[in-house]
Amino acid sequence: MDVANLASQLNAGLILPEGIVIITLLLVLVVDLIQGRKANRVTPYIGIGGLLASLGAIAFQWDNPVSNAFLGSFSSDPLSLVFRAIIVLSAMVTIMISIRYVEQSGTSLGEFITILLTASVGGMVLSGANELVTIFVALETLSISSYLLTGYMKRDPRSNEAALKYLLIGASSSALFLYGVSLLYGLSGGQTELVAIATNLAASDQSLGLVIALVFVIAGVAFKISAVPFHQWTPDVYEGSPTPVVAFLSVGSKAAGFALATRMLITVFPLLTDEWHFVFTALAILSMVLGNIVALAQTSMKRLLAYSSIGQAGFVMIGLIAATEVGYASMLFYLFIYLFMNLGGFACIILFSLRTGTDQISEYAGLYQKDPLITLGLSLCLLSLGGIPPLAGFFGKLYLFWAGWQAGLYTLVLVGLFTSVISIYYYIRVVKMMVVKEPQEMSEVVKNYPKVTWDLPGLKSLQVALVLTVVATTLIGILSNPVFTLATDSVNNTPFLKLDLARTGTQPVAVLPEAIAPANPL
Amino acid sequence: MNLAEGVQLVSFIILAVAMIGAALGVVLSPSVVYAAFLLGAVFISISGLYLLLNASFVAAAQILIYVGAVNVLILFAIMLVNKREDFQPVKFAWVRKAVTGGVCAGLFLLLGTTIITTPWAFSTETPIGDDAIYLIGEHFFSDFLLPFELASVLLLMALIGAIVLARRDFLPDAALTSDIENLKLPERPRELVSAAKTEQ
Amino acid sequence: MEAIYEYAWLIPVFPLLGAALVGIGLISFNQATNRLRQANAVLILTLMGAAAVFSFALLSSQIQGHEPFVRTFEWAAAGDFRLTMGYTVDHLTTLMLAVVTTVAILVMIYTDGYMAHEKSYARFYAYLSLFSASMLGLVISPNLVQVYIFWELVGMCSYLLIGFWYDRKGAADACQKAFVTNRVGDFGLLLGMLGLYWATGSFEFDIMGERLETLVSSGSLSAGLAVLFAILVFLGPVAKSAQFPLHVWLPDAMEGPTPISALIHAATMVAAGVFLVARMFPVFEQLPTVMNVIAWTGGVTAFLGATIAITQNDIKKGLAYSTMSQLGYMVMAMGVGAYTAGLFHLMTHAYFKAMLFLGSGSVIHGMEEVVGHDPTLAQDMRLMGNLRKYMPITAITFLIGTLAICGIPPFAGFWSKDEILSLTFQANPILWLIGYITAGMTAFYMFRMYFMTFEGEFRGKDAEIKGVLKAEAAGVYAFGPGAMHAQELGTHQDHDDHHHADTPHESPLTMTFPLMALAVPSMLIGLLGMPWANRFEAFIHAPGEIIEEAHGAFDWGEFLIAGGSSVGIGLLGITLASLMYARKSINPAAIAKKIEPLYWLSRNKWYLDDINYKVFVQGSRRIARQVLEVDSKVVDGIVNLTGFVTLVTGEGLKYFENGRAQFYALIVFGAVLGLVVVFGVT
Repeated sequence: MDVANLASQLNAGLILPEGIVIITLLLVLVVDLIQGRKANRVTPYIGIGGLLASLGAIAFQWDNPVSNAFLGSFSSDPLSLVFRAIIVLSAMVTIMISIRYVEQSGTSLGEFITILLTASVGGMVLSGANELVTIFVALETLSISSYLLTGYMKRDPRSNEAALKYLLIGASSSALFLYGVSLLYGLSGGQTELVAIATNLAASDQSLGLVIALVFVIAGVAFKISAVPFHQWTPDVYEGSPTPVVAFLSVGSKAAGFALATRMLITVFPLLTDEWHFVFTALAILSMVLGNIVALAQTSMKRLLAYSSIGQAGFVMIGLIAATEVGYASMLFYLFIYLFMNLGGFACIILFSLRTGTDQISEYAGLYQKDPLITLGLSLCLLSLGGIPPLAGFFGKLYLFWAGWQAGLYTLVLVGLFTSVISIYYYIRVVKMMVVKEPQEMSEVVKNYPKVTWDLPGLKSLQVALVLTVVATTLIGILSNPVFTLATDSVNNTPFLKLDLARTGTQPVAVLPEAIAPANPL
Repeated sequence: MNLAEGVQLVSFIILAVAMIGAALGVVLSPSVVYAAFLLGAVFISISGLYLLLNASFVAAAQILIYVGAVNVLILFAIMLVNKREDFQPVKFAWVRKAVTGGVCAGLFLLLGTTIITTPWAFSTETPIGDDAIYLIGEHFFSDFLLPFELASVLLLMALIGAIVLARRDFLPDAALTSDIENLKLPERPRELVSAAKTEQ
Repeated sequence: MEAIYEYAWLIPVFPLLGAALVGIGLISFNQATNRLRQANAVLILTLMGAAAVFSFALLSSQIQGHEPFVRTFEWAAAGDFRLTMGYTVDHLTTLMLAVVTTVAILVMIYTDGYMAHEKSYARFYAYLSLFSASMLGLVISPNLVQVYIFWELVGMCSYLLIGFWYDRKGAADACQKAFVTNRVGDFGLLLGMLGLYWATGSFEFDIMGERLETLVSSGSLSAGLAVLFAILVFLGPVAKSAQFPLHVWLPDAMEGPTPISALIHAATMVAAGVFLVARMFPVFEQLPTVMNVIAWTGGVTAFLGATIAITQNDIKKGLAYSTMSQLGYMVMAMGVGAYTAGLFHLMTHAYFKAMLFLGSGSVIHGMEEVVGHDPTLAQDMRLMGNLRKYMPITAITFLIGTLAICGIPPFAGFWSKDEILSLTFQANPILWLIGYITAGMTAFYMFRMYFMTFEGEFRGKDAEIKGVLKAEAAGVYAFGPGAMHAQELGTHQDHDDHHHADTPHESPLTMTFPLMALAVPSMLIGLLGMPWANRFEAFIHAPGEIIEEAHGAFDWGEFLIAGGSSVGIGLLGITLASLMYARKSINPAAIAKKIEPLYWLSRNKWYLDDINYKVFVQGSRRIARQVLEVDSKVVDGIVNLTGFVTLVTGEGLKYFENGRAQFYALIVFGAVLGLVVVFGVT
């Protein structure tokens, strides 16, 4: 294979979005190096600009028929494009909400952005990785950057502790994942590409080894999406990490985990579909129940959102388990709106903690009187997370549950409905705390609330991010159609999902005779 | 069995016993320094196994990276933290140990069974031997190009991260005393005995 | 005429616009907006008025026989997942629109007087407007999904409004209770909705009914499943319309400001449940079991509400239980197939009950001048009496409302209640008997209320009664919502005592005008439904039902017997009440002594609150706490068996505890092992 021939086969243009992000991160690094602290005025906007350009590149590739790059180790199909867009967006919003936060803590901003961008490169490659080595390197890029970000406030023992815990548990789960992957390599007779592995596995007859490989792979994935019982790190890490990092972990990192789960499990384990559906059902039920119930008892906002994100991951898994076209589409849809509502919530929490220095739920009492913007934004985002119509979250949940119900996952949907009722309770508790308190019941910090100004460097971008995410949360609820179409199209145009759907056959489970079946719903 | 095979078998047994013994020592030894040195022994034995498998490049890399870098780093870390602290004996520590032992034994049994029952497909290709280094290079620049390049980004970032964590930040005294810029989370720590308890 | 149909969607948009404008004003220019006060009210009232004009135009057009109008558009579509939204204008819709807009406008006018001294005057108007918008949106919804969306919004508004007075601890507890109870109902509704969609592939009411019938009759869907889904859907109305056993929130919801009680908890939102039953009628009709369940739920609620109302001393609580009882009538009517009668009662009830509530607000307003801003005193009827002398307009309108609810002709309640009773008699005599007895009790407790409040001696200065009431508030109700500490009461009292007048005064015109305006429909609107010339039935009837024009064969004999008997029992109740509370010739305390267990059963609301509290509230709290413990404490305890220490020191040990990270890793490995073992077994 000569060089020219090789270069033509690589289709290197398909990783243009990742390339842009890498160039951006180098640029940030160099500018920060040359200008020192003065660079704080520039670097975040370089980062945001680069991510915007990367988003543009992703949009540009939407209709690209060629999806395989790097001799099959990376595929840029619509599914991976959507996931990469979610990661890029979450990184972008994270940078916007982190500028003031990082500056106020006195740590250096340039490195923070560099590491964050690396993490998003890792997540992006992971979303499209089609081959074991790429998957693992991408996973580690994402993980190691996340550990670093978690421990970024190095003078704070909580941050150190969070980083250490995250590192140790992350290392164990990586080890498990790597073991599973190496088993796959061995069982398939030395293949690393996912499709080739599946073909070779189908030809041979292994049971126990394959099951172990499956479980080990799931352990690695479940750690990333913090599904119960692989969730233990989440509350501690969320509480100890800088809040913008938590925002990124809860959205970007989680989306990457779901991308990996979708691609790898569907492609490699068609033989064990029932088994991995079973495992995920168990994980989903545990996550929904435990996440939502334990969230009831939390007193700190970050921990509340940590447990709520565990519960939310459980909801998203319903779409994955449904394994129908609408199932996958509802998963994408929900992740997409989750991006906005969760990041919007975090933007409000960050703003509040910057102004008051606390994230205790009880301290939010009476905030309505002093800062209506935070109150409105946080209320909308939390209500959307709880699934109150007509906000985006309601349609996301309705779509997920509908897909699950159609696929016959009655238990899951019932548990989901029930726990989402519970979740509304603790979200509304916060809303009530802020809105429904008279001046005499205000908490001490709210009584001493500083005058609302947006003059400090970095607050403007935080404000922009807050308004954008809240508007998106509200508007996607009302104008959800384009996003629905986007999700469905991406599922329909993704080759490996099409294959899977053709194999399993996605007839909706309905008791209806054809004549009145959903031929004309509504 | 000819002489070569005999030698191979004997060296395998020696290496395997050394490796397992050292690994057990790492886990069971009460002294951290011994554990660290025994870890080095484990790494060296593994590289011996690689040699037996005709993978000399990997064996060399193993010694260079794991013994030369990782293990030495661990030892440095241990020596830098020379604080002696008596751990309070945990009550019912045996339960903890028993559970851990149980899980480990279970995993061992599981993996052992798998290895024995799986009909492994043996490769018929002749081992490539010392040419491995060329082959690895070729792979790096063809079908493993993407992970190779990504790994460079990863390394760069790890470098920066290490510097960020290790660097001594210059903070004026005023900043240290004020609450604003102190490299800490802006949120106050929670009261450790949570208020929820007293309510209930 | 087409144009007004094209723009019918503006009806909910107008109040929404008002709420949004004032809301934005409050968020961006809080001080300025609050200072504007009445300008906000005028803006919101104007917009509401526009909606009302629109509604009445539609109503008249519908009465003249215009075709029902449906406009839908695709909201979201992905694959075979399709959501359509839109609006529909038919007889039922226009009726509800007219009722909601008139009551809303009058309540808003009343609010100006009632909340005149409130700091959050503008915010209150914004909430009212938002609520009206959601309620109007609910009414024009063409399908179940949209109904659900507005259903939730209406619930949210009610939740926020009940808790509007946060300085009362009872209010905070009450809105929590309302929320939890309504969630149970909404959960059922959502579940039933999904189930019905799964079975029929549609969210539209008539299509759903049609297909369900085909499915059940062809046997491809088991009747049991269909019944289950229908009952799940019915859970929504059960919670929203405060039907047994989910009624517990409504009386507590009276902690909210009185205009809210009148608008939301008497006239509109609670009626939404009945409205949904009416909308779902095509579905329920197919399933006799469900209809029975509905009828019995209504009957039991009517009876239960009336028995509890007899012993209530808080004027608003008494009215709340009466509302519950009347809603029971409506639901019962729906259940026995008396569609028209149920909706007729809904309409008449909306007017006279809104008036009664506003009247009670006026009374409380007057009482507060004497006893201070303390709900335990200002709302207690034992402190009132002879208010007719001081508040003549309130007294007269309240009397009209009382006569209407007791079913005395020719007031509105007579016609609707009589129609329900006579139709129930044809369907199920036992239910009729329950309804009949309830009617007697209604007359009794309503006149008890009237006599205690407006006749006799004014007792507002009687320190002895006050003392008893305070002790009661501190002691008897200390376990439940509404509990206040005795000391708190004391302090309230101390600094409130200075500036009180000796006698209550009539409320300002802004408050009395709505009362007078509502008195008109309370008296006259029933005449629309006179059985021999039932114009109401000609307008509103169950979908699919054909109204025979032959009204000539009206059976006067039957009507006189039925009407006479229900008037008779009403008069009996009134007489009894007047003997006990006006003439004092029978001592109610003596009777209460004689049937003490029954008295306490009623006084303590059949102990349902206690049972709920013991079983559900404490139970679920215990579960939540246990799960938390299992997650963060007990799991640790297994490792070092120091579970108790960790329990005591709480989460403090989470930091700087060296074993935890290793333990988390152990869980990861253990979980993996467990999963593989599970596969090995299965």
